[in-house]
Amino acid sequence: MGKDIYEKNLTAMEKWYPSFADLIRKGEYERDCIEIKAEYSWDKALIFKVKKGNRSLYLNGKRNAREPVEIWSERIGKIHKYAPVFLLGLGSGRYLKRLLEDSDKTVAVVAYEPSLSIFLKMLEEEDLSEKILERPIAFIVEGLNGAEFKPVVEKLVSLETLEFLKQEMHPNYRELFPEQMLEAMKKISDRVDFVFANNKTGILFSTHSAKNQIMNMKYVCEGYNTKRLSEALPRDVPAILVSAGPSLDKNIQDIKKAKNRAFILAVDTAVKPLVKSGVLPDAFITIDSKKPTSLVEIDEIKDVPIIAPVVANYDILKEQRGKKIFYYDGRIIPFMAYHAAGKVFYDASTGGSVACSGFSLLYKMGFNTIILVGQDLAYSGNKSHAAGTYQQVMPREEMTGAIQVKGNYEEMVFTRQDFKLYLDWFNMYVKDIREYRGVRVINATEGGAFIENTEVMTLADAITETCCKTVDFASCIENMETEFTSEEKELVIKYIHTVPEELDEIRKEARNLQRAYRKIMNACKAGGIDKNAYLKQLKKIKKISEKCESKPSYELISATMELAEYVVRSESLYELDTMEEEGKAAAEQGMKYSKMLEQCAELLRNFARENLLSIK
Amino acid sequence: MEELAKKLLQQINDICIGYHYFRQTNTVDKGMELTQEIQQFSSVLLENKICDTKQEQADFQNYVLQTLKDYAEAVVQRDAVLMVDTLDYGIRGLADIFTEVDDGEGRDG
Repeated sequence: MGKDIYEKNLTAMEKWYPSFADLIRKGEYERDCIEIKAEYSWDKALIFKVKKGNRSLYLNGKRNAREPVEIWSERIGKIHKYAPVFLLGLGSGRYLKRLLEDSDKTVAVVAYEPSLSIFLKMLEEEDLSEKILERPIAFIVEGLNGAEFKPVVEKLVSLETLEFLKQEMHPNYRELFPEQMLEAMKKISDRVDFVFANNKTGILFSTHSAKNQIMNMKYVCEGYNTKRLSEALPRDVPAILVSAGPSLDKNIQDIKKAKNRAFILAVDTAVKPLVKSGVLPDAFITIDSKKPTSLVEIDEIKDVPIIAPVVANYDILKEQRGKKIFYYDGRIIPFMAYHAAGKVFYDASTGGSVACSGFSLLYKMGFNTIILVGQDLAYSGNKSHAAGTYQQVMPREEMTGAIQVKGNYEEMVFTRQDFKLYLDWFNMYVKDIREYRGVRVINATEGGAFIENTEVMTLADAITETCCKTVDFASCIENMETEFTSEEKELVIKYIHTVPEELDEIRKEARNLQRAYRKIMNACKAGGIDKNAYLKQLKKIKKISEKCESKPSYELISATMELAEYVVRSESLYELDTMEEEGKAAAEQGMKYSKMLEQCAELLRNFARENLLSIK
Repeated sequence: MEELAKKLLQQINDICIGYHYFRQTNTVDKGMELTQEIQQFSSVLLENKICDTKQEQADFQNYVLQTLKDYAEAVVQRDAVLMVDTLDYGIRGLADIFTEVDDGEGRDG
């Protein structure tokens, strides 16, 4: 049986890395002196007991081997689809298998094994062939291709992936292979430090959220928001939300018939195909802070109003000549800016996708009939988006692991996990708005997944039935009023000008934090900790931290500190046991963190001074 | 006995939470700190009649001995995996006999 599984695993490996599989087949390697005993736990799971020298250790629970893996999976939480994940130690393959089950196929999994004997035993005992076939896993095994670990780390850990990086060590590998584990962790940690040290400003803005917020504030001051937009538009006409699902190709030409008869709101991804089909939407919506500008790089769209939250990609907004219309998405600074003028900044519900936000906005703007187009939330012909969105011709995607849901026209259609989440959101939202305000939602998506409580009909029929009135939406928007009088605008700008100062206050507090941590560090170094003094410093740290966090501008920092926090968190793998050592380690972490806080506040203060103080 | 069982459960919870969620590396040492309580607890289990029939009592005693053997092996080998497994899925089950079912002493405390 072992040989069968071994053969299946190797055959699967040949799909991605034939030379690696070949190396194993030829047996041109030297085994290490590790003895492995494969047995079954009391809960009937394959487990390994490993003998190295005079120590014999279990790699999985003897009584219960399954639950610890469940808990591990729960602790790791959701893995970002572009995360690099390093699993240090493979054991019987149980943790690896779970990791592959829990993560998207786009996740880059590096499976590092310091013992060739354990790796070969795993290939004999655990059938991973299906998982291996699904995606390329970077197997790195000492004695086979151990030298590849560093280049792989360098390739995978970059500025773009740093915030998603995860590293996990298999139980008992620290005991069995301490040197190899430390060496592997050090390679990852060195790479993280390198990326961090060489990209301080880049890291600060890698999430783009803070940069966009600061840069877009000058547009927020103009005072155009979705509430004012709704007041400028008639509500006795339908609205059409054009999304970029693959079925958009089928009825995009029909949208023309609705021009000036329904308010046409396009999501950013649908802009290009829509314009190319000869229809200018009345507005388009973008929400993502990193959305590629290429999606809307088309001259005809520049005069069309754009609807966005303040974190939306500034590079897209700055190119627009049309009105920039904002809504509140939970960011404190624009909210406080409105508040300074005695105004309320109204929100839209977010369900994760730009189409969810667009749909929620149309509802909140008061439209009682909303027509959905291109809202597939599923694959069509194995494609995820309409032609001419991300690429001229969208590639066909692999359907392995896709979920099936009820279709609009087909009995069942394939979808993927993120689309399914949006579908669940639509199901919930449409039900609520139908019950609450009797909103009619027509799904004129000619394909795709069925959204509960919607009427499925062709776009041509929907237009004939509901678009009965002609409206010049462009003039309505042109004449919409701003939220602020000139006096109110002054108050908004006055508030915005306080942001750099507030960031400077946080910078100063970060220095006070460092002092408090240094005191703890010195006390721990001296030995015999005075508990009262220790607690006093901890109280002080808590007070300073709370003071920083209570400032609205802190949100700009926290949005960018996630990456920096990784650098601190990653060190926690080297744990210590005595109270003094733990206190010292905690103080070191705290000092590192507060130094980063200081750097971050300083960089943001300078950036905010440069870009906010010039707003007049 | 109930008091001792409750104390053991509390300590096992702390060790297991530290091991699983906080990746603490001193699991074996923390487990070794329970030696006295475990000895005291298992002596009572082995010296008293817990089960109804002779066969059940013999099986139970074997179970206790096996648990003790694993605990000793975890200590000698400094095996954190075996230590947590023995505490969480071995000794916890024995301690549960002497505590009420709904006392909220699950792993999550």
